[in-house]
Amino acid sequence: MIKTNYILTEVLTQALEKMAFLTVGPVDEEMTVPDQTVLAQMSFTGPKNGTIQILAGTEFAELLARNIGALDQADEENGYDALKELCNVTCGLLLPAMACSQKDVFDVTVPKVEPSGKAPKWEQFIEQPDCIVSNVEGYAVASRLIMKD
Amino acid sequence: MAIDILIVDDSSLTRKAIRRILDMIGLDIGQTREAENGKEALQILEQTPVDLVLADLNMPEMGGIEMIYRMRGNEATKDIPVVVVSTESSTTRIEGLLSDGAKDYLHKPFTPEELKAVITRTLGSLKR
Repeated sequence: MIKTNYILTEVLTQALEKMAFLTVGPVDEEMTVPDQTVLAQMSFTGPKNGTIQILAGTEFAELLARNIGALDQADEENGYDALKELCNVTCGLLLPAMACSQKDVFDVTVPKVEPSGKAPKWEQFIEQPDCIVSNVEGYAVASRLIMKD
Repeated sequence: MAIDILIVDDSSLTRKAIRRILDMIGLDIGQTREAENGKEALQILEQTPVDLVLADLNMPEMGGIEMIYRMRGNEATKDIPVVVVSTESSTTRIEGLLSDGAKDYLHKPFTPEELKAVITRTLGSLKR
């Protein structure tokens, strides 16, 4: 689990930097912990099977949308779209890192979002043992890689 | 001659980001149209032919692979080049896409230079 968590942290950092020009720093006490959360997730099947989940605040999701789309303002829907795309790109970077060969083929689902109000609460989500918390420019973002047998 | 492009991606932000990059890479871009999935793209292409399609693979309703397959089976769209813009990394699947009719492949996330290079390469190869 330590190895897959390390890979997830690496690829999430890469995805944020490349697609949204956002940097990941050390986790600290001053990060903004979300009240209203949004969950994006997608699953993959193939040589390895699992699900990636990313939980963040609506405020962070809107920042992500502004950066991806170079928007002056972003709304809630833009934020959901941005978090789904982050999940998609993260998964795209993760699978080759976990594959045995570049020829390995994975099938992926379309990323889905659980909007604010339906997404898990922050405290509940981060209590799970395989959850990673990242500090993305002052915003706390949680991610999980759930592997299936 | 200006290049008319159809962007096919279920993410409206990605479509916006591609449009923005197309505006800044110094190519002569004409009309840019957008579709949310392969089905919508085929409907647009029936009405309005374009010079190039930039298409994601993983989309609801109709993904990029089925869209390319249907384009190739239609006399009106069979020669329109499609560049797949996706997070897919498997060489097996990318080779499959290219042999099934995609003209080129661009891995997400990409830089403006990479997008410019793939468009120039694709349209350049058609002129030869």
